[in-house]
Parts: sequence; C-alpha cells; structure tokens
Amino acid sequence: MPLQGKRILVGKPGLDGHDAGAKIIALTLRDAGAEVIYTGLRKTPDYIARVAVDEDVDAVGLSVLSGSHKELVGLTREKLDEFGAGDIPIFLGGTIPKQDYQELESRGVAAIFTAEMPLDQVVATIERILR
Amino acid sequence: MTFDGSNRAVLAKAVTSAARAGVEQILAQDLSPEHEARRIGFTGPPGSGKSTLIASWAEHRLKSDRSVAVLAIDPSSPISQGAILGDRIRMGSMDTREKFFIRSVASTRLHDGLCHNALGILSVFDRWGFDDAVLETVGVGQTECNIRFITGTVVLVLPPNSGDVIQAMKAGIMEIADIHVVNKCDLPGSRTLARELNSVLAMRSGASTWSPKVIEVSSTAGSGLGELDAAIDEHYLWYRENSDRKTILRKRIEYQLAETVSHQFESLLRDTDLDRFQSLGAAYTELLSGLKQPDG
Repeated sequence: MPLQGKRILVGKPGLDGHDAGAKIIALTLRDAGAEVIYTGLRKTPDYIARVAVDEDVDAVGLSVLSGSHKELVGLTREKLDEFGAGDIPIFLGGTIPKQDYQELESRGVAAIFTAEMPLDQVVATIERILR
Repeated sequence: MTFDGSNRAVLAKAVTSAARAGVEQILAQDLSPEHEARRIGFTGPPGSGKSTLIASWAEHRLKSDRSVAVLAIDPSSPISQGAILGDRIRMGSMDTREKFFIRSVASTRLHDGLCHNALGILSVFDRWGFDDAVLETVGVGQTECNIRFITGTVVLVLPPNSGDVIQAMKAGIMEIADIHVVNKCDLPGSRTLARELNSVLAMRSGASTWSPKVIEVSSTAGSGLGELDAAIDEHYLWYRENSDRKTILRKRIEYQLAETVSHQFESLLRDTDLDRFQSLGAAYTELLSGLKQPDG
C-alpha cells in the first residue's frame, strides 16, 4: 500500500459545513494504507495544529469550501510552525480558484487538489510529498 | 520529563517511538517503573460510547487538577492496513487542554482490542508523570481480555439492550471487568440491563474480594459520572492494597513476550514467500528460526 504507516490528519477549518469531500479523501487515504485522523467540522487552525502535533502526523490535509482558504491555510501553517511542527506539509482541497494557487504555494501548501482530480492521483501526489 | 502542556511535541514523538518500537527497544522497556500512572482500561462493544464517556469522565477528573493521558485504539483495515482514527472526534473541546493528552493508534494486526506495544506507550505516560493513563480498546466482542493484564482497573462499557442474564453469565469479557457501565442510560433498556448485571454479579463467588460494580451513566445528561469517578478511585485503592506486584509484573511480561513474538511473526510471514517451501513443516521451522533475530 502506497501510504502504509503514514499518519495523516484531515481537517475542516473555518465555518463551512460540507465535509463530503473531506470524508471521501479520508476513506481514500485509509484504503491507500494510511492512518487517518479526521477532526470533524468547524475547527480552528489552532485546534488543528495542536491535534497534528499530539498525533505526530506526517501531513495535514485541509478542506475549505468557504472561500477563506488563504487565511485558514496561513493561520494553520503559522500555528504548526509555532508548535514546533514546521516540517509537517499541508495539502489543500475544496473550491480553490486557480489564481490563488501561486500565493497558497508561497504560503507553504505542498499540493492543491480539485474536486475533479482522480483519487489515485491524489494518493500518488501525497505519496510523492511524503517520500 | 513532566508533561506541562508546552512540551506536547516532545511527548508526541516519544509516543510514536514506542508505537513503532522494534524488538530490541521493546525488550529493554521497564515494565515496572517507579512512578506508574493509574492505568484504567475502557473496553466494550463498538458504539457503546467509550470515547465520549472517557471525555466526560476526564473532564470531571481534570477539575481536581489531575493530568490524564489517553491511548485510543481504533481498528486497522484487514485489506489496506489503513485506519480511520475517530475516537478523538468524540472528545470534542477536551483534547487540547493543558493537562490532557490523547494519542490515537491503529490496532494493526492485533486481534485483542489493543495495539502494538501498548505497554510501552503506557510506560511513556508513566515517565512523563501523568496521574491517570487511560487505554481505550477497539470496539470488542466477548473474548478480548488482554486489557486485564496491562491495566489496573477495567471498565466495561455496555449500551442499553445489550443482552439478557444469559449473556451476562457467559465466560469472557464479562468476567474481567471491575466496573460495568450501563452507558446511555437515558435510553430505554438500561435499567433492565443494570438489574440483570447486578443479579448475575451477585451470584458469582470468585476468589477476589472486589465486588464488581454496575453504574448507569449518561454522558449526554451528565449523570453518573461522579459515581463512576468514585468507583474508579475505590477500585484503585483496593487494587493497590490487594494485588500482588509480582503477579502483575509476571502477567505483563507474559503479555509483552507473546505480543512481541506474534508481531514479529506476522511481519515475517508477510515478507516470506511461502511458495518456496515443500511443506508446512519446513515453513514453520524457518519462520521460527527467523524469530530468533531481533529486527531492531
């Protein structure tokens, strides 16, 4: 299994209440061999970063549909760095406009997944990031 | 090191190291440390409310300024080996408190409701000076009793309507609990279950001087938690006075050796091409000889 032994947090920061996508990703990662910690809806970046540290995860995946992805990603990255987990990569999914990609990547997002991306491509990308 | 909320990242790495320990690291572990956290095991069938109950009880506990660490185990997939570690989602706002630490772990290939090197992870909590170390098993059935050997107090969490007197008389998990929680007692069926459990427990004449308790709890309604907390305290005092340290240690050694051998055997089996053996006997002999080599 490509993600065997990897621990990945799937988080829903902010106020949007739709987590079908996050759940599909969680199950896909599980089926690729990963141990997935799903945080549930409407969590703060501070909370997500603390859980990521406690659980000693290899990566943090964030799902954002509310449009505030720049702020939420930036805050999560800051908190992770603050808690001594600067080495944990963040990947992002949701409704993310193409014009934001560059800025997000400069804020430390390792990969951005769109809704139409095939799931095996998502797994392959995460596998590459964690190699 | 003592846990003070600010050094969570260091503790988290120590737990990971124990969770992934190889044979040599496991064999070097101190199974009877000087400071030992009170070890409380919560077990019971899937969906009986173990995680929510632990969170509610821990919240009660933290009020008396105790520190609590939780090892929450969820099942691994038999197909992909992956897992959804969902216990902590039930622990809501609890789980980033300064005196509270949770680690979610997958059961990997174990079938006893526990995880690889659970004893080693619990001893990390000891070394970090926690007052209470809680182990939450995978949702279990009737036979997963190893939690008895690695924790001091076993709390069996049952949902209402989980069987009648005959179920309660069966051998297995019903015999090993110190405290039976009839959980979700705001739902119908809980009073009957509590009564039947009490009647069966009263018929038992074990060698132990501890009489297992039955407590009705509802995390939603917030009822029964004080009673549960008192029962855990009472059992711990009894356990400290009445249990023989040597016997406890021997059981831990037995458990650790059996778990270490089976863990190593499973990975050997996975990495061995069985087709090259002429007979089962030949495969058995070679696999056993492979066990002699610590995998580091």
